[in-house]
Amino acid sequence: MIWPRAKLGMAMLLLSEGVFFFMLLLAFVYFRDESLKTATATLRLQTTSIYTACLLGSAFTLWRGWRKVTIVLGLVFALGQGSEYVRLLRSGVTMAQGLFGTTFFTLTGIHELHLLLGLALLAALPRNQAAAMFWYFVVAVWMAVFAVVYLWTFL
Amino acid sequence: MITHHKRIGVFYLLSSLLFFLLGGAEAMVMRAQLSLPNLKLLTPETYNQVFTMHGTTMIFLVVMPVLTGLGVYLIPLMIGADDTAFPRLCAIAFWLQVGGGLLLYFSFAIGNAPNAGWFSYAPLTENAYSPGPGIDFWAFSILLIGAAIVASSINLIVTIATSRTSGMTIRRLPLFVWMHLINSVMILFALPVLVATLVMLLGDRLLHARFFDAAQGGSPLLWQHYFWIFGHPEVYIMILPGFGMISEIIPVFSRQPIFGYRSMAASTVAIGFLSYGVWVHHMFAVALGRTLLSVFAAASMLIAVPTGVKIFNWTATMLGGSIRFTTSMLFAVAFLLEFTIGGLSGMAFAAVPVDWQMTDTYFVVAHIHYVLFGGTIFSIFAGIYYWYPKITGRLLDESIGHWHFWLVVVGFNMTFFVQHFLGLLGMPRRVYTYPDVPWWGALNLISTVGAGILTFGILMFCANIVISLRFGAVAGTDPWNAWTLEWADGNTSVPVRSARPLWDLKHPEAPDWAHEQ
Amino acid sequence: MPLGALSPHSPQTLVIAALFANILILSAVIFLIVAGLVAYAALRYRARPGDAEPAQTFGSKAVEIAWTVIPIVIVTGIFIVTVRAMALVDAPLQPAFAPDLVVTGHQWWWDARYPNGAIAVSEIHIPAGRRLLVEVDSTDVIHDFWVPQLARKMDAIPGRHGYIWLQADKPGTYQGVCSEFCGAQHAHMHFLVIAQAEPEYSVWLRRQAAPAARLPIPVFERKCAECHANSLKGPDLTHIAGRDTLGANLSKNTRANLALWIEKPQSVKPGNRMPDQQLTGAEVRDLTGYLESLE
Repeated sequence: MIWPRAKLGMAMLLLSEGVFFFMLLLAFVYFRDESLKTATATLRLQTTSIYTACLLGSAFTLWRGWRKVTIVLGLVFALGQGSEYVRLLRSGVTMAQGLFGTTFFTLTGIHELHLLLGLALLAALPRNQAAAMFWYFVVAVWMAVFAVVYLWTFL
Repeated sequence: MITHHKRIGVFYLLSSLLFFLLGGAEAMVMRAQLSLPNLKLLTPETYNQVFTMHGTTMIFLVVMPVLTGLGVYLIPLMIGADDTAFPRLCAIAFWLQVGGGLLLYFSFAIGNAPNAGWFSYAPLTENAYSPGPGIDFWAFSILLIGAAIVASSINLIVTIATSRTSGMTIRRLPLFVWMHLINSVMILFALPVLVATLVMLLGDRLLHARFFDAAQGGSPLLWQHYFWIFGHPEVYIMILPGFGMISEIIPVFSRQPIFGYRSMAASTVAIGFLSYGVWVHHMFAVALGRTLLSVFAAASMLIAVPTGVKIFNWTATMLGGSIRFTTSMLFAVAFLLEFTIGGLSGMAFAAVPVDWQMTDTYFVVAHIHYVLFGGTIFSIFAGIYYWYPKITGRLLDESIGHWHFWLVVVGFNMTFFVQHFLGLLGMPRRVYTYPDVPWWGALNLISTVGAGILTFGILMFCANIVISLRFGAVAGTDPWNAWTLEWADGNTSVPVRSARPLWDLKHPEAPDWAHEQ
Repeated sequence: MPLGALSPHSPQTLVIAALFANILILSAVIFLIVAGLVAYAALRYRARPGDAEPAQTFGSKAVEIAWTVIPIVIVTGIFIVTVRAMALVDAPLQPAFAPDLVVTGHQWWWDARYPNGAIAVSEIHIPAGRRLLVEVDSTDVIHDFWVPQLARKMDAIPGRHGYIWLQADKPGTYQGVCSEFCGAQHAHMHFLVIAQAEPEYSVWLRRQAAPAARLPIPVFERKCAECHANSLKGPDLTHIAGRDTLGANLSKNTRANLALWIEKPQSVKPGNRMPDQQLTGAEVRDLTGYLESLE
């Protein structure tokens, strides 16, 4: 398979980033038992599922080439996550709260940063395929995080 | 912005040399403090900062950058490319790494260098036990350097994948390039683990997270696992490019192709995979249960096989050859012996109960220096003597080279061989002083004297580099009568039909491609 | 620590020493083979002036298979003896019975607690000839308990327990060190394991469990008890006069050293957790006298 350089380079970067997120996910899982009570009490599966659906939708719209819609959907997710954060912080669940706060905010916070970067790349480089790859990665990582942090907590 | 690979390569070499001298000075300071029992040349705090800076500098600011620099300089030449795939990224990676180094040394300048060792075990590195910014400087510096390393690895992989000249199939790559390719992939999988670990530590220290803080329900053991999941592949990352250099140098000065090109490449791939399955051998002294320890002991012993057979391949290359002992070849041959010693002491550690006595003592300090100095640094010396004429157009002086070689060999072995005994006699590592126990003083003094001799040798090396730049014999494009593309004169087009294109050109009567491999 | 791991004084360290000796011999043989081959190649195949390029050899599958298979056989052998040695040396991961001794690492001293309530600081007495199950803990950072003549080392990790067998064949004093970098005074976190014949040991154990010979004097209550009455923060001083050494085996337990420690601990062991308390000369004298009476 002969890939243009930028895409191959991005693929290598995403491999590396994948390992990075895997280690953060693993830390969440490592502390899951101690975190479960706080997780079940504070996370909202339904709300987050809606935002997650938007994000998944943004991968579809990107695949179809509708960049502006993708960015809008991404922003919806970002704002949704942001409001979740505000709600959690207001109810006393911070990084320092305990093991749930520590692992949840680190994992989702770092993801959020990548998501914002991804949105910026999509906006700044409208036809760039490597930027599109990055966005797919951001969505894929969220699906893994959603599964481990939300679905596994409640189901 | 300067982005050409030859310039960036030289930048890497120069910055690594500077940090090598700084790291070496740190080592000399440590050896001075340890030359006699109960000395008070340094306060404990200063010593602890110095040994931390020594390890961190040598690993992240010397070995990794110099190997990267040699790769950046030589790989495009060896594969017939004009430049790396991402020249601007190449430059950015270099400056990021320098930035990380400056940040780290800034902490030293303000008296707040990190002081918990280069692997910074939690919870010692939590705020409760390491207040002050030292550990934060350490973590941020390594994040910068880590990003630089990943960036340059991506660059090298894409360069090798997409910029090979026609005829240069994967099976015709010089082993130097093979080793860098595998190395770069290993970096992609190992460095992010370090990044995650550092992010978690900074979370603990700056945002009151609880990852590693036992008092708050966190797990110090998690730090050990995470760090060594990075740390073990890291040590192979630090030797593989050295293997690559030796695999170029020994054949040329023996006038024989490398014995077993395919298995050299295949065994390196094996090392790449296996190296992710041995990390717990850094934790054998933790109560983890015999079953788990046995699994990792088996893996650690297994990985010795693809590593060890390379020694046989290199030696077999020499047999039946016509060997010229240039300074480069001297270092390459010394590498064989020193790395064997280092590898054998490593095998001893794989035998878990031996590790239960010897880990965290001077025995392991001896081991790491035999593989990292006797291994990596010696291979770098060999490489510099070999490729200096390519980089500068002049040869390094051979008489100074021989002085450099013998001073280093005598000094190095004197410094570190006795440390095996110190470990057996019970001296732990990372101690700023020690009591007057029988033999500890004498052996430490010998080690310090050896370090002094080693320092002289290294100064000879620096002198050689500087003097030869001006007064060295003019080299020509192919001073060693070598076989890989970096020695081509750039004017003749060299068809690539084997792993030794210049040999084929020079020996049309017996080209490699006519030989059934 | 005369000769450390090279002078095993317990069944466990003897097993380890034997394993090491075998590996050492094997390593020496392998090294001599490699060095011999390299030397042979260097001498026999040295280039002579005017030499043509030698006949090129690319490899030999048979040879490569041989020198891959043989090392695999060798490491398999080493693995088997390793696993056997592990079983002989190691205590259970989660013992079914209570430990004979609980050793705890602190920044920067060790103490040992006995089932009868006795606490020993830095000088850990054990009965000679008996195999003891020792729990290894830490209250702060990771330390490592290592007495090379008697036992394997064990990391002391806060929040976890490690277990080792500790056994001394003969009565004697055996030196130990902390073997995991633990901060400023890691270098001065030594300890002694003092193995005694049963009668002497029983006497010591009984006396060590007894309360302090004297009630605390007022200045001790004011200036020392906050840390030293809570043996998480400062070493237990109940029987300090019975010790040979101070400061985790840093200096001899003499009146002068004791007074210096009380007055200016930072000058003796810089960075340790006991602050210089600006005591008056009279206070130092009283405290020294008091502590000296705590046999």
